[in-house]
Amino acid sequence: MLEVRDLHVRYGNITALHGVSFNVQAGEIVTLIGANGAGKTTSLHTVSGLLKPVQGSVRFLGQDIHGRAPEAIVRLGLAQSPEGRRVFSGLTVAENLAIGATPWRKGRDAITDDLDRVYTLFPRLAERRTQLAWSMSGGEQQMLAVGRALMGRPKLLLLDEPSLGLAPIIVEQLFEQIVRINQQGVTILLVEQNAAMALAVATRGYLLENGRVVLEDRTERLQAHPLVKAAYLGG
Amino acid sequence: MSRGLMQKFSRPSWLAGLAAVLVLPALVPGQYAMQLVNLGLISLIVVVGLNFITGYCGQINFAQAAFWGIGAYVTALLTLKGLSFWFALPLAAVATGVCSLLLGVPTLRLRAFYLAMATIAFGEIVQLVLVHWESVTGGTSGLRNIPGITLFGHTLTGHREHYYFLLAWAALGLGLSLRIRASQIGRAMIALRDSEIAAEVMGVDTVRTKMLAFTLSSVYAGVAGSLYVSSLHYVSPDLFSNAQAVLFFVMLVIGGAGSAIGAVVGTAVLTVLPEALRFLKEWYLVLYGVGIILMVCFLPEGLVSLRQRWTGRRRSATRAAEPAPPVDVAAPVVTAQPADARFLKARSAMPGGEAWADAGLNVQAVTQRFGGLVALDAVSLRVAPGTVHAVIGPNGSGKTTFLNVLSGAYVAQSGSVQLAGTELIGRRPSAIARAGLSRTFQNIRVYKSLSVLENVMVGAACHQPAGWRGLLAILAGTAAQRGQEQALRETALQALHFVGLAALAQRPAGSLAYAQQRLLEIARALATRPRVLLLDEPAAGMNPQESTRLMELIVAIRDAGITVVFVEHNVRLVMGVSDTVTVFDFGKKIAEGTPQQVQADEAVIAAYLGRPRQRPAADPANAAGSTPEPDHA
Amino acid sequence: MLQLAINGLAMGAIYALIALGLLQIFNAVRIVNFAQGQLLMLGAFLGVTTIVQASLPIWLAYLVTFAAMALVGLIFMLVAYYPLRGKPFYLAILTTIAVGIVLENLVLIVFGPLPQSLPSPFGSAQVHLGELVIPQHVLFIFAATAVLLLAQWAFMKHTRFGTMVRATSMDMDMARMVGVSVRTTVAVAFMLGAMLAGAAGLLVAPLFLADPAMGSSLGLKAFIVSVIGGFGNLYGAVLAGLLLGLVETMAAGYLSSDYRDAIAFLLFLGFLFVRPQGLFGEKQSERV
Repeated sequence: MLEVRDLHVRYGNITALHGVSFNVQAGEIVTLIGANGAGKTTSLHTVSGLLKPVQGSVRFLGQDIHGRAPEAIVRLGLAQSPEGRRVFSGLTVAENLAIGATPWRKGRDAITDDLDRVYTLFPRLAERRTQLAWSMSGGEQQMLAVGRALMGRPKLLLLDEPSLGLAPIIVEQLFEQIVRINQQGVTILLVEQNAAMALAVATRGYLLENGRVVLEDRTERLQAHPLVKAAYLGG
Repeated sequence: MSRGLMQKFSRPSWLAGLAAVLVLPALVPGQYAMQLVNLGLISLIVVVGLNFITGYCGQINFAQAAFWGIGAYVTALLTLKGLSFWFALPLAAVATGVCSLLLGVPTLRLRAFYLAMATIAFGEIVQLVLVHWESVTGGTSGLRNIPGITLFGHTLTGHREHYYFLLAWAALGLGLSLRIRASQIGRAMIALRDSEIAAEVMGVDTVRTKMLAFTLSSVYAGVAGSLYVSSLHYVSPDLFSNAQAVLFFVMLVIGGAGSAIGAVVGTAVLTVLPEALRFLKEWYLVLYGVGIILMVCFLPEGLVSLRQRWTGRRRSATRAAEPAPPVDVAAPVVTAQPADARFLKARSAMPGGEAWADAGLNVQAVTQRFGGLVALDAVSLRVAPGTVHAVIGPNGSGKTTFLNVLSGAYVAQSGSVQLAGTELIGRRPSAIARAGLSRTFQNIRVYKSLSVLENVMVGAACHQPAGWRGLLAILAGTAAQRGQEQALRETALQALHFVGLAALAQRPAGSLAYAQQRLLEIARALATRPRVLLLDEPAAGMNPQESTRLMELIVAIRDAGITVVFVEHNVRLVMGVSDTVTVFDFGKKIAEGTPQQVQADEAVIAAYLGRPRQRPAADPANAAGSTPEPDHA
Repeated sequence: MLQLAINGLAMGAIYALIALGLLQIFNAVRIVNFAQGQLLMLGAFLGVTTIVQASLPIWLAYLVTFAAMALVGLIFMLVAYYPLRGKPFYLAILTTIAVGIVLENLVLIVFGPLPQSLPSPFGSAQVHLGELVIPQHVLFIFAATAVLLLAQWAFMKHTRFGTMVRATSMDMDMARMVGVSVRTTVAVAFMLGAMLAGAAGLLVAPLFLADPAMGSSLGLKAFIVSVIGGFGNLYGAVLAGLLLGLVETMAAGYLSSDYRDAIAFLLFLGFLFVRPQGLFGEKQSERV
């Protein structure tokens, strides 16, 4: 479904990615793990169109999408819950979710079914549908960000550090729902610093370090791999 | 006079320019044109003044026309009462200076936009007063028969005599402006424009510097008003309008804001052009507006930048643009003579003398909240003097917030931070810098408009911040002041030598490669002679060779007696160079010890990698939220 | 005294309208439009052209004026927004000032310097309430402002597109990431800003006269009102507008009418010194 080949991306003066390649097959949960600064979020931003690579390609559902505008890429069936959640702080929960449906919604198309699905996944959100987003807790905002992305009926869901700043219990609940979403047919590309959680839910994983992929394998084999620990905490 | 300026033009062109200026009255056709030239000289003084606050400091100021008017009317009223021009002039300058203080003190601590609005409002009020306070100002008809200027017993008459007189004043204003630019205060102004927070942490009191600039601007305008009124013998309010203020602004920007020469070019263009295009009548103003829009789109840095583009293109045509020489990786800094760190060790110049060295940090129960979010939760730690202390932790754990609280960018709600007994919380960043704590930034904040050397000189001036007295000394060009400038230069060069950038001293800071800019920030921070140095992700974006070089540098800094605290993700660097490591998670300290101890600590591993776990079974009975759980924060 | 109060509130309503237009643009793209007053002036003169010169029926004239103002808003966006992205903000200020100068002088060339009169839909009819004499136009101003405010509120809060505009002003990049066409929402913000200014022009011109220089002082009042209200806060701007109109007119009535404008500026400076965040703004904290 998603094929990223030999990405070289610059952030101002620095080269953040030195030839990163990975792919995601339909139905999988694939994770990119690595220490902060390794290039995980940069990779995600390049896929979603916020960054343009100086070299390399990104193909989604057979089409080249690198260099295209984010608005256009989103309409092809790709949605993102970004790092830091970035919910629209002055809008209510319901409004945040509604605006997530922008990619496919034409005119008066009803979104009630999609809303119901999200509320079933995250009953907390249903309870607070008229609450303003800025006043919600971190965990609730994360659920809202994921729900908003789901409203776009994506084929591929990009999750950028969903566990950031959340208590372990909330992270557990969140990841249970992430597995559920995947079982309902959404392919997921997950970027996480919390390697254990990511490796537990994903089928395959890539370990990034200093802008390069240094390890790639099925997650069962990655979980105990010494390189993973070394990447975060040194040998 | 500024060295840089004299270097840009060859001697023959200097002499030619001087000759042209002196001979000008002979070349100008007719009285009307001569009057125009004189008006241009007066405008030049106003615009050069505006350059201080708007060009150097980057703050928008629409009050120049009002200050000009105040200077003019004060002089007119005083000379009509019989006072000599030579007494009226300084009084007018004082009047405008006081006005600028009244206006500036409340607004300069706010965002730049507020100064723009306040100066517009001030301008409107001044014009209203000038028009309606008829008993004093003469209302719309203004004041007439204002006495002229007497010089050595001779009263100036005719446009030609006034020309040379005004020329002298304009040259004086320009010269002083260049002198300020080449001084510590000029560098501080430009530094604060390029990055206000990075200027603060280098010891620049940004509010006071802005105030100095604003007052200078107003005094220039006041003097210009005085000259205007005594040369023309007549004044009326319609000249001192907001439209005129806008015109001054445009003169500055069209020439090139931030450049005194730009002021000359812009003033010349906008003095001649309206006359040359007079035949267009009302269409002139339409053209004026369209011209501004086009200039902003295509030449935002003003006409002066044309010259840079042209010479830049010529230079690159004759030879390939030489890249900045790479940091010399092969020569480790530790083999540089230990004497090279002498500028760091020269404690006698520091407050407290020898006791300046060997200071540690004592952090107690610091809590920092942003709205409902607790970024730091009662954090306590000690940094032992003369050690390298790393702060690590996963994303969002509070590390950068911690550095920001230490350096004064945030004010913690509770707790205390003591540096060798001095409480830091609640102090301005510039005061903290003067207490001996300096820092670098994660997203690099070098002063791009200044050269590499000038960047470091800003840091070197940390403990001698220039105030009013310093300004006067600079203007007077005293020997003591020149000596001080030389000392700053030497300290800065030593700091650059220490980090290995001395060869790049004259380059504009913005042209350096990324890793070099990081080293520049370190040199700049070291030039403040800190007791504690904070480094915020110094290795971000560096390749392995550059990180190794950085490690050596940090060790050398520690060996010179400076305590180093740094935030970093690069594990090799942290483990290789730190004496102590503190680990944060969720705003709390979760572990502390030697690098080896911390590496093996279970809590640390769990914080970064998470605990090993089974794949969560997405059992319908376990849908999130069905069991009400207490939420975090 | 009540008479003064009513007139003051009417001016206040006008101020509120201009400020709203200003804030539409600011909330969307963080540009302070120094030409907002000139846009108002343009609206007034478009009214003169359609009503007085072309003798169109008033409702049609208003419609044409609004449509023209929307177009002007788009052109303004192309000139003052797109070329300036990423450049220092003082250049944006300079550009909007320049646009104001161009507009003012173009109108001067076309219409000449003499003030023109613009009739109200209600002519000079008046309403008598006891001792009060209220021109029907003043009532029309209140009604029109209320309708426009309501319409804007309904649009922003209750339409899909309005939500998109609000989202764009909160986080432009995120809006793009959910598929919002930010070009369109920014364009709408500029059009709204221009149309509101035009409406204010149509409403205020019958009170005084339309002349090319009327824009500058009204534009300044718009800033003052926005700052007093808390820059960015729409409700604050409305309240501040009414407040300013009231205070200004009363002070001019009882003290001196020469310094009428000075009241606004003094009030403004007062707020800047004492409470820069305005009535409803939040204190800004430094963020590194």
